[in-house]
Amino acid sequence: MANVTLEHVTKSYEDVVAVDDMNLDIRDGEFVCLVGPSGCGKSTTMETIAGLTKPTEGTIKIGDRDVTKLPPKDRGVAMVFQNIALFPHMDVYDNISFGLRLRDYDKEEIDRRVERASDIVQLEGMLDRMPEEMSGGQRQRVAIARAIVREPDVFLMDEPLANLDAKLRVHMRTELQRLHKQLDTTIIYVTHDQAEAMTMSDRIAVINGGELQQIDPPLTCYNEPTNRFVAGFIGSPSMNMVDCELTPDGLESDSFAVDLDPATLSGTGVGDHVALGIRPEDVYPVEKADELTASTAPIEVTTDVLEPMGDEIFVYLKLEGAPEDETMEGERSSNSLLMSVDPDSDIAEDDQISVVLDASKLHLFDGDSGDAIAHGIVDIGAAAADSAVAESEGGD
Amino acid sequence: MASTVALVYFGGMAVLFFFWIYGIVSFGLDLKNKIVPGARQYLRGRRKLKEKRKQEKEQEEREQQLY
Repeated sequence: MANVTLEHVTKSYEDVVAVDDMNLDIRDGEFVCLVGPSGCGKSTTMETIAGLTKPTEGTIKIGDRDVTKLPPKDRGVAMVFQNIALFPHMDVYDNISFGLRLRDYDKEEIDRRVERASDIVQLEGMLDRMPEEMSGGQRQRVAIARAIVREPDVFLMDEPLANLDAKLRVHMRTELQRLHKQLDTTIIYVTHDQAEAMTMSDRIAVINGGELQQIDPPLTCYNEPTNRFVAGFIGSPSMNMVDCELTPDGLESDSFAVDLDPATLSGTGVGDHVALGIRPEDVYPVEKADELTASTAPIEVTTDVLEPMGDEIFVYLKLEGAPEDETMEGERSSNSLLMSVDPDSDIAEDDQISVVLDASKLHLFDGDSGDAIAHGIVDIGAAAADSAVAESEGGD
Repeated sequence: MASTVALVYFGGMAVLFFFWIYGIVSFGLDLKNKIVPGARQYLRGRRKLKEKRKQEKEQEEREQQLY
């Protein structure tokens, strides 16, 4: 077991910067997921830790050792690859013991470690099988067992579940969590699937454009994203974003206003452009306003498309008077909202309805830099909340 | 009669030498524009393939150190 430290790590390929001044401190025994969209530099970051790629600048430490210039074999790490990479001409035993035989371990020690690893990943009785006789999940477990027998300080996993079908992926996710609990070893896991990251990791490192955006526990990334990118990337479906302007009375968008005292927001002033973020589950029909501790004034919307998911329905809402605009990648247009409602809701397409936003769950981001300004605006004008409650009671 | 023989002789020589020179010039131009660049491209391709194979082998060896 060991902690992993990256200090100012940069990796450039001619004029392309794949990893830009990355600083990471991964604690001993921690399960950290590196997440981000394709091409964001997460695999390159892992390859620099593994020793498959040399960083252009910076230092990598595993435990107290500076391993920046060491070959992979001397770093005390084992890696599980996306393509599994088993030797097709070797049986399971030979595949698992490959690394140990390469390092000239004696037969007894190899047998002991293979037996223990196969026991951990539940491959007992399959050691004489060939890879072609096994399912995708079993092959992936062989690859994991191959990493376990090395007894490394750090496990590196580069999208190991990406080639498995959805059901098997969910099952293997649980297996990996169990494995981490059992081995209590540092695991660095690369994925572009934020559901995997949210469910398995102690902390998530969100990367975009080669730069670390945030490293925090999953719920902190979800509830307190440091910027607009993290807010949009973490959570499925992604957060609603509405462009607003800060006025003396609060926030004003093309279709609705939110009362708040601008003085309560540090780093911004009246006239500044900000983005208002709200997750779909924090948008409510106006009838539910009285259940909220703080809500915005009612917002008039027209329902567009409904997506029944079984346990909930996603309702796309068209905001009145908001123009079509450009949005960041993966975000919805600023003239629409997505709301999550109960499956027994009687909302239909093309209905004119009123909705409120849970003010304690609102997020504000700087219009230019995208950096978070505030999470949860509880200082909503009482009048707005009262009017929402009054309308909900009037509607009943 | 003698002038006809001379005419045929010199005419024949001219045709013969024309194609001889044409062949040499044409070969020279082909050498410059097609054969030498083609050979260079072939060698460059082989060198690149060799380098790529070497890099892949090194990468594979590095990856096997992590098994």
